[in-house]
Amino acid sequence: MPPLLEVRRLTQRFGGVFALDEVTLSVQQGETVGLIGPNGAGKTTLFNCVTGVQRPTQGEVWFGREAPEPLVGLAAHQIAQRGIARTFQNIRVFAAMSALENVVIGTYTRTHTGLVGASFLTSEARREERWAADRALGLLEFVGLAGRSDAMASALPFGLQRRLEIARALASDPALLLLDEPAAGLNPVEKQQLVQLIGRLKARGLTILIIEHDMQVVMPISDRVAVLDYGRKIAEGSPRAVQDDPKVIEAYLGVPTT
Amino acid sequence: MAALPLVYPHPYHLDVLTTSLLYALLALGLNLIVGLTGVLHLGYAAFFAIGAYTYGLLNLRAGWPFWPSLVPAAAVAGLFGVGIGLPALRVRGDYLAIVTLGFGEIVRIAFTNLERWTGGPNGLLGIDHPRLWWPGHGIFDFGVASAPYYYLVCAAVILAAALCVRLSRSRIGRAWVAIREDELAAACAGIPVLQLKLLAQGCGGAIAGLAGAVFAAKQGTITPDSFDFILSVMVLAMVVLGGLGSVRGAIVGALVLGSLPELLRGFDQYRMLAFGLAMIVIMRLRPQGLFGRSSHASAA
Repeated sequence: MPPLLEVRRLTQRFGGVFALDEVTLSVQQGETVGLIGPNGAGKTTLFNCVTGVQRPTQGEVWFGREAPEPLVGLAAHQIAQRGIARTFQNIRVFAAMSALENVVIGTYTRTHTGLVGASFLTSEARREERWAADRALGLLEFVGLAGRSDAMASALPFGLQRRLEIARALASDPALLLLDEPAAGLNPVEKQQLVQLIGRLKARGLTILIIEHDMQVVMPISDRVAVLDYGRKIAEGSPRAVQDDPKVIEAYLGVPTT
Repeated sequence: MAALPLVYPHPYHLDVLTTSLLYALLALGLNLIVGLTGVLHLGYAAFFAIGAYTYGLLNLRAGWPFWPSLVPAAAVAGLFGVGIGLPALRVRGDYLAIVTLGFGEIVRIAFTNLERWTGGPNGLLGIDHPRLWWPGHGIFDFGVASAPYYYLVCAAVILAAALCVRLSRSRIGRAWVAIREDELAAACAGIPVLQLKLLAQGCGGAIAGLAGAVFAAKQGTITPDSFDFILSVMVLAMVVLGGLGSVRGAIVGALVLGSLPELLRGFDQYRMLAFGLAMIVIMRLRPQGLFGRSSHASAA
């Protein structure tokens, strides 16, 4: 069975700098893959290339198991329509919208009401509105935001904004979820809750690719870990094997001087 | 408020109110573009002009009556919104403001210079007033009376406001606001950003086109200088004063700024100075506008 996501020799150059240098990575259906590496290793650039935010200099991205489709060249919204949802390293919730509205936005690709339906408030449009609101409420509850649906997104504490972003991503019912440092800025309790939340997503069978610095978060949830350093993939394997890999230790801690 | 002419039939004041309501119609349309979608448009008067000239030309050249002309007036202005948006929306922020400003000026100058069709600086003269068939009374001509236009514009504002409220609470309106709040996050949530911005420009343009046709029918005469840059700025000020994205705000903002110059007549030659001061005071006290949603308050 082909993988759900396949990144082939992906290269992103900015002038003379290689943000990504021929990175190859695949994610199987139902798998949780951790993407780690020092700051500036190219992890977020990889996410941006996969989600159409950036166009890679070279390389290919294929998505889909039954009939894999190339993603390079598609716009961000077209890639989202195909079933890839993401969160951002610096939270990007819609500040002046309520928590509920933020999550309802996530259902955009799953709904159809157009100008006519909205203007005449057809029964079809009403039904869709109800469906989207119900779905959003369910997801708010799932991520632990029950009772906060009317709160303005900007008024929520940082940790809850992170969860709100995850709920918005889930609302599109994605086949693949990309989480960009979801634990950044969270306190130890919140990190623990995040690990549990991701555990519940795994249990639902969702395929996840996660960028994370915090080993206490990424190691227990990842089935497999890939390590980037200076835009290259330097290691890949089980969490334990990667942790003991001398190349990885060197990337994080520097070259041993003894 | 709709029954005002019956209890207070002062024609001049009714006229001022009708003009303010016409502004409200424009503010409602611009609110879709600037308020909801967050696209700064500085040439909105051009759509108003296109609607006015569409009715004027159809009426004078082809003998079209007022009512059926409303459809092409709205459609042509809406199509211009989409057509201009296609190249213009590829730039953002300050650059987009300059491009839309240029569009507004080009349309006005084009109407001034295409003398063969538009009558040049003298404009179009003798455009028909609306006529209505009234059961039992035969055909009623709006003529130069104040009250019929007041009713007409009132009805148009109510219809447009209802449409805007529905749109803003729909999947489309939410997507517009998402684009305003964070374009990248909106795109990654699957929202086709360019397509929705074009839709906002098309809807906003169509409403202005409709207002333009009503304006042309009311005045009977239109000249290019009725559609200058100051008008675009005034309508923008009404939207900002009312609160970006608020339908109620757009209407109230238009009524306040539309009638303030009249209310300040007592200041005589210092009228516009007082007008400017009033605007500064309001924006200082309520930076988010009269009905704006502050992103720091809880949801209203």
